Amino acid sequence: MNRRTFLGQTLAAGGALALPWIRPARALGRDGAVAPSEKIVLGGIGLGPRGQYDLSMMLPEKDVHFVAVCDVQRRRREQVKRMVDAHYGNTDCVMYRDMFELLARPDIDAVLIATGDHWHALAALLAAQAGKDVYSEKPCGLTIHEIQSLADGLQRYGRVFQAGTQRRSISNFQYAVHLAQRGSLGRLHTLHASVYVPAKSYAWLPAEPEPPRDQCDWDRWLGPAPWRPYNSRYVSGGWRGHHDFEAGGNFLDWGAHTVDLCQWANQADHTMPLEYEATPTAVVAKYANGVKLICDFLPTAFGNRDPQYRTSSGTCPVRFEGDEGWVETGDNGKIVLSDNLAKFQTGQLGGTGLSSAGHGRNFFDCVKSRAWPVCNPGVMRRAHIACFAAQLAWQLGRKLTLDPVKEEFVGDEEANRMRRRATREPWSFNL
Amino acid sequence: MSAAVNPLKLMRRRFVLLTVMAAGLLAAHATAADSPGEKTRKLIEVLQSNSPFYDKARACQQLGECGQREAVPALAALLADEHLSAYARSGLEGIPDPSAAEALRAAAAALHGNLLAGVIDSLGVLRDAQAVGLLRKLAEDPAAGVSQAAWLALGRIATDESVRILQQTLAQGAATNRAGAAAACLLAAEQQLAEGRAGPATALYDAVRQADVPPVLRAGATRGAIVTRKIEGVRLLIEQLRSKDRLLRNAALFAIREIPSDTLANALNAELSCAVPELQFQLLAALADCHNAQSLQVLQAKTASDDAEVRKTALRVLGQIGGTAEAGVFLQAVADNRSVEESALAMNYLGQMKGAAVDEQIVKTMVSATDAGVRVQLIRLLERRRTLNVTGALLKQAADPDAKVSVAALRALQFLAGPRELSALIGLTKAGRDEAVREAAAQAVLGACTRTDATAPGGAVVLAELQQTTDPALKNAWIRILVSLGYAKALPAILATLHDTQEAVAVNTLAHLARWPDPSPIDELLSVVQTGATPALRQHALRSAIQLATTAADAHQSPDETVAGWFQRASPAAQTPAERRLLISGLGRLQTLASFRLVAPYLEDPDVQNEAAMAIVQMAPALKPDDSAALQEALAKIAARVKNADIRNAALKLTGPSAHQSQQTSLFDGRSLAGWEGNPKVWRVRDGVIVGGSLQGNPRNEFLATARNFTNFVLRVEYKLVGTAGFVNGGVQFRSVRVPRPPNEMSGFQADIGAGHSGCLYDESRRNKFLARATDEQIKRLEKAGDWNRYEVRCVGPRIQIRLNGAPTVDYTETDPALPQHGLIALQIHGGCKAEISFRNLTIEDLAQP
Repeated sequence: MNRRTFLGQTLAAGGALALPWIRPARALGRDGAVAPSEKIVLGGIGLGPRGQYDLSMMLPEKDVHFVAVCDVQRRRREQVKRMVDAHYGNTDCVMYRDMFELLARPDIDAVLIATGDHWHALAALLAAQAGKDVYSEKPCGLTIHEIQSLADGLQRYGRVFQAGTQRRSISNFQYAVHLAQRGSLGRLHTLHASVYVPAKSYAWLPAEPEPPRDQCDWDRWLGPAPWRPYNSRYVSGGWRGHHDFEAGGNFLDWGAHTVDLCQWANQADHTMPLEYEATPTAVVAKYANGVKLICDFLPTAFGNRDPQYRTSSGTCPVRFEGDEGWVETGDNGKIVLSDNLAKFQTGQLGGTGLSSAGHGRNFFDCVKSRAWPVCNPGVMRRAHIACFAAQLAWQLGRKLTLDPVKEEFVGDEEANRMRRRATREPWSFNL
Repeated sequence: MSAAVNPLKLMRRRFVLLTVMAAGLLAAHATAADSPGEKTRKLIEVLQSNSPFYDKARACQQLGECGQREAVPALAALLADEHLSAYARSGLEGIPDPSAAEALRAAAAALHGNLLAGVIDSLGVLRDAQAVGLLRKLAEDPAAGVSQAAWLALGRIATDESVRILQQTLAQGAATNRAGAAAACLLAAEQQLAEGRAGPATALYDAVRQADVPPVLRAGATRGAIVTRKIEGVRLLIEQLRSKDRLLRNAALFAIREIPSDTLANALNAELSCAVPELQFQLLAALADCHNAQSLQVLQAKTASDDAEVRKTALRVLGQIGGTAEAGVFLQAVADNRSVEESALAMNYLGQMKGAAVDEQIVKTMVSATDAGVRVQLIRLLERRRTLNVTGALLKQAADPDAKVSVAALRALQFLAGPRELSALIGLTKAGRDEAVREAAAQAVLGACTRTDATAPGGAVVLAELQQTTDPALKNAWIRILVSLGYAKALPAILATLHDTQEAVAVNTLAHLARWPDPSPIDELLSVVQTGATPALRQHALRSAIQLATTAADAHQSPDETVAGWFQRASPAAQTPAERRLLISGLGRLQTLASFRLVAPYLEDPDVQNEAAMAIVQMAPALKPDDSAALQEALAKIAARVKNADIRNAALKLTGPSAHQSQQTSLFDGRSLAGWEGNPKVWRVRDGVIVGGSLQGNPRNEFLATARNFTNFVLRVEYKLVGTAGFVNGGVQFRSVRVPRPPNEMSGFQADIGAGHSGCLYDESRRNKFLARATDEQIKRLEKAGDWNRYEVRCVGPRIQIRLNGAPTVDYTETDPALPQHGLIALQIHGGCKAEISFRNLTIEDLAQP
């Protein structure tokens, strides 16, 4: 169907963007009004390795039916189609290069978004406007401003949204937070969130000739990011580390998870730390109630964790310390406790911290009930902003103070200016 | 990030072969040490020069972060550039000066298409009030092609003037303009709310709701209209819940979570009594986020609904927000047993409820439930809750005629029963007609006996039963329990049953005795091997005797010679191939000269030649070279005759002159660290001993490594580890390499030392896991903590063997062919502890290449 007539608007030669909510009433979808006995119709946008992993957890859900995938790279859309068709035993999965075509489908209730960092927020907003509920991989936006725009927009359109910080749905992390919240550790004083050693690159990879659009739509891959010449490495995971494409100098890769868990443990989902100061090995943040949040830099994803954490905890470890004891846990599923709290030992709990099965289920339940998922926009917003603030404190090399209500840095114009960047035309966060 | 700089090749931006331009290039232009003014000046220079595209792009971004107003003209000049425009806008959006917006407005007059849309976006971001006029014109001009962008920018700006324009358009504009204005109104309303002007915001939302615009926008406005009214919004909310339009209903459901209140909870409670079925379960779910005391009653009632989804949701929400007072409702759900899901939900929440009052209710429901399946569920619940004081009720259930119930109750009693229930359980074992019930009862007896040091009294009671009964099945059950308890006093009575008139009894006893915790029954067993009345008795006795001897060998329960003696006595009786294999396998575990001599003859036995060869090949490295002649002869025989190629090759490797020679070279001269390299602040020589680490603290892992690599060898060292805090640990690294980053680490195999890991094989900074471990009991028994210990590491091809104070703790064969079979040897002190590790008498015996 010709997009112009379908959307009922004439486009000028400049190709200014037609936003998806301009559509005739009769083409209305269900707007996520899925009865308990019905299936949720799901689409996917930008499903690379992580997205395909998430999808592999979602396909087995009996009340979910995946119908379409969109990707600017042909290889990826074909991979997903193969995976989905094999699961259902048919050839029904539709492929799109253009996100708007997928979003215009009235039958789709929700979308899974797993593009690179720089597309997460805008894709989610466009989906929200198109009446779709969203499960978005983390980090959910590239800057503080993107996170704010995203959270505001999701609220504006009343959408069900789940941020892909799935460790809130994994039993060993839940248990550790439960201990912290109910006072089993005494009064909390220090929370440890493991993150990668931050690093940021402004360098560009060498220019390569752009491939045909059907193979890789470079302009669309860039989307809201400022233009730079194509290089095949960007589109196969090599976008990591680049200022224009990765959120927060790889701080948020684990930080989005571990800081989120600390916020939860501290029952601080409605707020965030006020002060952020970088040391050579960590960023130390402080809440209004005096609790410290220490984002420890780990040089590698695997290997020795001593002395900050137990190597046996695995990846993404967190540790919560109170004046009566501490608990540590990570992706290996074990609960490690101070000796005096041995009575709380439960043995192996989680399977792996990477699994998004439970988190996806929570999202799907909420699509039906219209409840707010565990990592809803408000929770996501504050955990993410705390991460960005920590990363900025590292980047600027000075102490930052944040007003958690206004979400502004106090007395630091440069830090405030770094909350935002322009959006490449014709894309816009004014939605 | 590369510091190299290469010149541009071509200027055509699309297909240019740009090489990597490092940020370092910019350093030539602006440094952190510059004042903001200086920085701005230098960056302006870049923009206005012939600098490469990359430099200009970066300059724009930096100006956005810290540039001053002087940069505005230079940035504005780039707004017409296809690719630099967005960078320039980053710069302009960042600079807090009215000249930035002014420049954008000026550009709007000259640009078209996407570039114009970008400028409009920036004007919206800056909330430039002075742009309202030009934005209105662009919004209403379809030919300009930027209508939507302009409407939305007006929405962001949200001055009174722009809001008036939006409202006018809502009422009177063309269709697409109305839609754009409506979306803009949603943005404007949020701005008004942020300024504390709820009244105008509500009016704006109401206007959109009534406008002829796409439904999704009206739904968004509905949500806003409800929420801005706060408590007053409840009526509107309920009204929307009753709408036929799903979008509006969903908007209302969303709003519930934003304005929860007691008033709203009351309204929701009331609504549930009349809502259409489709909405019921959504409203129930909403109660989780907005409820009061009456909501609990509503939920309780809904757990009896005809609709399964409603019941399930009600149970779930009740579980989330209710307390132990809801136990009755959940128990009712279990008793009603309407679906697997509901029962599971109810059981889950009951499981979480603490307190004796809940236990009592569960017991009551269990007792009165007519359905056996329900009773079984509730029994399991009591078992999971580890409920105290329910053993009486469970014993009654254990006597239930329905075997399923009886077995479930007995299973629970296995975990909950103690000495007080023992006699009742014994009674049940005796009375059980069903074999499953009797088994479960016997297990329960065992459980009761093992609770709280009750082993001795419990064992005595069971022993008394054994001595009184004539029933063979019961004898079997009692003996099984007594063997599981390892109750020494019962051994005579147990052994007496070996001469029981009923052969089945004796055979059972013989089988059970294989599990006796120590070798005490062996003599008696060996006697039966010789003198047993039937072949069956003799065979069972032999099996169990060999089993006990094998266990004794593995766990070093008796001196090697004694164990060898047992095998020797058993061996004539091992007739069938299976028995001979059992014997050979056991001898293979003993790994002494005596056991070798017993195995060697079996090389001539075609039925078990392979097994004998395997046992000898496995034993060979552990044997001292004293009897090497006989061993060499055996190995040569194996290499020549055995059909299995792997065994032949293994034997070949073990033969040869290198097996004779023990050329042990010293690795440490007793005075200096010649031949070693490591951090001199950490490693030193003291009193003829290598010392690493400090009791003041070791911040990180440190290794002292040999200068050369080793492939196949026997490494012998003595170590002593003392520590007072932290992870007191060290190790001996081998077939390893130093890791480039961080430089203090090494990667490869490690024979671990300390913190409960001595004698174990760990894969350091590689697969990061233990490849083979000794048991905790072994480590405790073998290691002398804080004192000198002998450590031996033998590497031959893929096989790694470790001995601690002479006893073998690890025998591991690496299966990954990609891993190197050579590398450095190193000594480790672990990071994160206050500890010191010492090494002496370090020797290496190079083994020839296989």
